[in-house]
Amino acid sequence: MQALRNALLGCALAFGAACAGWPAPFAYVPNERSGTVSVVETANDTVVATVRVGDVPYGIAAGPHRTRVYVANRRSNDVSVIDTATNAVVATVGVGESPFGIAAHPAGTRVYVANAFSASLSVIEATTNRVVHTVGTDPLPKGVALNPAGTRVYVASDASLGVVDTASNTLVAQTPLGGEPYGVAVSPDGRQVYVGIRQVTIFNPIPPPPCIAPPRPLAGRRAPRTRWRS
Amino acid sequence: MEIVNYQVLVLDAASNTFAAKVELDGTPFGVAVDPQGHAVYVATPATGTLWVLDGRTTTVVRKLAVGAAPYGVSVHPDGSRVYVADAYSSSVRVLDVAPGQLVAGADEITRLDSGAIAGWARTGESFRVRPLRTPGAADVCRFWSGNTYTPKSSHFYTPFDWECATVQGNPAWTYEGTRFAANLPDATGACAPGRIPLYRLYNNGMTGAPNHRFTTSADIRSATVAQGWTPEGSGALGVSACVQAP
Repeated sequence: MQALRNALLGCALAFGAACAGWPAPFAYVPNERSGTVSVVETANDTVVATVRVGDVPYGIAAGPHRTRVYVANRRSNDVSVIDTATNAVVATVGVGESPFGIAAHPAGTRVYVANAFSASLSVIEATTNRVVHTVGTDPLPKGVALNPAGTRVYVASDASLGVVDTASNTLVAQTPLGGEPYGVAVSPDGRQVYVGIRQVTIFNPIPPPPCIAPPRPLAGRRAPRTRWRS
Repeated sequence: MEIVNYQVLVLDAASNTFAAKVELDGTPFGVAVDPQGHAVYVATPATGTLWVLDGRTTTVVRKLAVGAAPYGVSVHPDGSRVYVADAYSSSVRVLDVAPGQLVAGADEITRLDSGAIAGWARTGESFRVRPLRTPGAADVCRFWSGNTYTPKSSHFYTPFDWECATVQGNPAWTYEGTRFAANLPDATGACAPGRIPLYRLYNNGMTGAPNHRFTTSADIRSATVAQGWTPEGSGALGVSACVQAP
């Protein structure tokens, strides 16, 4: 895709303050081509820091306590953990192949990463910055989002929208998508999950119908004449 | 031959089935929901569009042109701003989103707030209604008396189908259609749990023109009755619909 090749900017943003009621002074923007994350102060919309992360940073997520920002690096197959107080990378966590989407648990305990090429979801423990579970998904998982209660992770793969139970780290449901998904988002009440898809339907050429002789006119009857009243 | 569809699918989290879909004109990329759930934002980079969907009805409220290649979308935690990453220009576009602009009738609200329709100010009172064609609720008919009573014209709303039909036959009122639905009270004016009564009052033509007031506030209702208005609707208090607190 031309737009993707030209992309200098990553495809997602994250806020340093996801807690309701707190100010959100910074937005974090991954820059795919330059391998950095721009830190934007939202009060005056200026870039105040640039953090070097892994190769092709793509997905990004803020932890709920304003202390950590997680960046999925698609080409280096790892996750950079940024300390928001110092804007320094404090850990790099190896995950699966081509991590796309990333989301933090609302309690801040875990981080979930969709590995597109290894068809899996990595579960990172936030205190140790280690992968503690790997959940198999349908091929090409990209989008990932949690419900506000933190009980479900939604993973959009090419074939389905998967639902992972966060307590058991198992796939509990898979709803067929019928199209290639990208972003996923959950409503604040957790009752709706939005997923954008691109759906291609291929039709085989329909063979031309066989020749049928045209109907013969009925002989011996004239059509009644229509009279119009003026 | 191939046909490409671009859609936002809405999964019902209780049943894990898709309950709704919205057709778009390009590959959807970023998807974000505002913290109040009023709006869903979807970026389609190929068409340079940020789609704003009503979070309750999942219908398209507006299509904003937001640059050459909008990919990522994020909403400020207070819902006031939307940030859109543009891949072509290596920039982030910041959109101001006034709260309440994205409810049903967003265009009209914008024109009222901006003064494009002059003479209106917000009262600060509000209540929540339901999307059109919600099972168990009634679509609310809106009428306007401007053709007969300008400059003392007013609007009249009713969720009762019989009343909607009757008023449509009244030449003083122009039928303006339906924009939302509401639940109905029972014959005593009681509302189901979780819903609050919307009181209706009639001015008895005191100013020389008909006017109706709709309020969920018992205090405003009492004060209006004290000014000579008559309660209308179900039950002794005059309940015209059952709505939800903001």
